[in-house]
Amino acid sequence: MAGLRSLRSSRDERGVSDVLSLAFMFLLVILAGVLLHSYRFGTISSASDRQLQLKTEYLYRTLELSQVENYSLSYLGALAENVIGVEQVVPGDYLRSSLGDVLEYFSPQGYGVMVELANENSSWVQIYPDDSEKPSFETEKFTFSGKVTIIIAGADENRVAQANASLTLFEVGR
Amino acid sequence: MIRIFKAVLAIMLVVVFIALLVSAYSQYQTMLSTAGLVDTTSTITNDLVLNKMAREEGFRAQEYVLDLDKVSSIDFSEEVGGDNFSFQIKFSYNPDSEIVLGPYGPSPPEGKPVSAISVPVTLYENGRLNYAKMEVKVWRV
Repeated sequence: MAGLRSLRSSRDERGVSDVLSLAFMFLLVILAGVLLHSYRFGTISSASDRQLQLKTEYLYRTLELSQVENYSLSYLGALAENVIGVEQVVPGDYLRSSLGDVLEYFSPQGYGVMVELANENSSWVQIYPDDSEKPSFETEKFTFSGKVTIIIAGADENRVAQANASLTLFEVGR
Repeated sequence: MIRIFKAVLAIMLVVVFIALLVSAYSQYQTMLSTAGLVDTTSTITNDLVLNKMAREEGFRAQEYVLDLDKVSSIDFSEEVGGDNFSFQIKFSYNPDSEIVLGPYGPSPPEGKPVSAISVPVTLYENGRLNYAKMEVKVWRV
């Protein structure tokens, strides 16, 4: 009688341990499910990052090619004249206001834009929105840079001057 | 009793695992397809700006400067990576009193995923180069 009781008790213990191992396997399956669902989760955000980089390049090209309202000079050309310090076709204040309008029109929602032009000791930095600061190292940002060349007419010969330009699209409100 | 309970648990374990696999695979396919559509939108936009709609000056295409007269010659369907896509484009400019040109091309279908991008471009109009926005909507055919 006692032998039968101990046999039943050992069977019950084995049954409980089997249920426990099954419960553990359930936990593993759920973990595997989470891992499987998060596999390559960044694919879409990478694709939208590529689009933002494309927008940055297009905005740079637009500033490089489109003309300042009422003038025949491009935005980056006018900025380069201001930075290099030659006789300015577009007055600085007008250029800052006009460029501000362009940046406001094109900046994607949730993003700010910074335009920087530098030549030797002088530079031009303009940020939209106006109350934003330069993006920090941790901020998500997309940059496109190039050089703007202008020809300065001299009495004897023409001179070529260059300014380094860069355009940065950065996340705001974080 | 415990034996039956264990059998039921084991069957449930297998069913849950298969369901998870199927769900994860379908989510993976959706993500790949969405990312592919987003990338195709960028590809089509680049093709329009650098080739199809680029203004020609002499025999040279002026990249990033668009000639609106070229809209009429555009085929609004394109094959990218073995898949067929259709697209629609629209231009808007003059922020003070916005002027909208278009949309050009077929309308996007309802109930199908559509990817859209709006990029800054330069339009050539009456001898001037004006900044504008070009919106491109792309979907699978």
